[in-house]
Amino acid sequence: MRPLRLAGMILVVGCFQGAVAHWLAIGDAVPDFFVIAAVSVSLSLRWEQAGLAAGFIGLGRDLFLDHRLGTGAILFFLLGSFLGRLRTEIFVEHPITQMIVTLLAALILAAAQLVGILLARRPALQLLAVEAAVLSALYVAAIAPLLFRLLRRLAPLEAADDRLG
Amino acid sequence: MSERRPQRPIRAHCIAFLAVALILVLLPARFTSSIQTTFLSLVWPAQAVTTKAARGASLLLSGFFGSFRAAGQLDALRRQVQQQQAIIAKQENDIRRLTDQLEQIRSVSPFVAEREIESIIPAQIVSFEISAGTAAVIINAGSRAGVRPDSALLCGKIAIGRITHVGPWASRAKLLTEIGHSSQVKIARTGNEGMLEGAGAGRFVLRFVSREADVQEGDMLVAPASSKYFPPGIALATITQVRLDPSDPAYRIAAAPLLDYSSLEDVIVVRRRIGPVSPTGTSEPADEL
Repeated sequence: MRPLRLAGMILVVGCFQGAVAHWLAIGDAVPDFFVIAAVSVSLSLRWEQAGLAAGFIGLGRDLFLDHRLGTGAILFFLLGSFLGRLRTEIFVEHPITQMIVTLLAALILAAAQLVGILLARRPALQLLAVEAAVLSALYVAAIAPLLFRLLRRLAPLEAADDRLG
Repeated sequence: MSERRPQRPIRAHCIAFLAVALILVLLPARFTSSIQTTFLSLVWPAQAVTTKAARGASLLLSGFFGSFRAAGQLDALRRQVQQQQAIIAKQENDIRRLTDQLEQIRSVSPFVAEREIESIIPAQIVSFEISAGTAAVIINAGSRAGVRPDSALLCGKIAIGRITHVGPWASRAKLLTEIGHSSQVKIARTGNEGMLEGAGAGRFVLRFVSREADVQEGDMLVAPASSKYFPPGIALATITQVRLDPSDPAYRIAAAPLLDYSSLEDVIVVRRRIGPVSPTGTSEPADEL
């Protein structure tokens, strides 16, 4: 993936998230296209490149979704690096594998980002926040295989091996 | 013979990226807020175009499937007529209920606030930023239209959020339903005050209402005179569930928004004359607003 293609992908994912995520939401379960994009990128690149690309997607998520700047970048970088190493160990083309990996990734990211709310010691909100995060993670995992195919067709990332490596 | 180009120091890039990300995390809020605002100014036209396209596609799809279904059998139409009659009866009930609510809003919200309002700025929602734990919108009015941080975002006379970042042509507002977002409110009927907290997916939790207070389902929650962001009397939500266990020192109250936020397009930004506090923590003098 060329850097410009990565930037384009982040912009498209951000705009898509803003335009349709609220329509696709089912109650508390909201799709997070940034997580899907990051996992998709990470499973198709070497670990260093996967970390870097996922990190930029995380930074885009911080900017688009008004999270604390830099937190998403670091979390996504670590996750991307991990998945980049993992991709040789698992059969990443199978939809079930993609769903499981995306579910785990979404849960890990949600858990890390909910720390703030959990630390605020608001019992009513803790439960709601955790419930929303788990439901959203399940939703994201369910639609991940479809979007993986779409993303890889629209922006094949394997080319990045040549450019960045 | 071509020479092999040396490999880029990808690991050095990774370290540099992490260092920059760490610096961003540690930066004071006013700097990160400026970065967010600049980014918002750059991308909002793309967001506006995407949202318009998505709305258009949604209309086309609903039109297509609507006409496809309409080409069906007469029986289906007859069933629809019966359903419509039932819906009309239900809507008549809803109209009566909403008229009562409207009267309640009018009685508590005669825009006494008018003398406290500096300006009313019309705007359109160009993008929704919804994820687990986040609920915000981007609107197409910024500092050039007179929007300031901490202004209230309303739809008619109903509060839906608060402006957090302001760019020259666009602004970002947090919706009241965002998990953890809290607003001071009072019960319109009795005047008892409490803290309305966003609970995600169109829900609120009303906290700190003592067990001595008179609370009923259907009570309207409005902004009190001491509200930091909203003009007094502006409606925020309605109470949907009230629970009081013998061991609880306070009520457990659930509330719901008066509008479906996801269907909103046109909104107004209201600036109070009496100075709200900016995100940098500095209070702006009233005469400057």
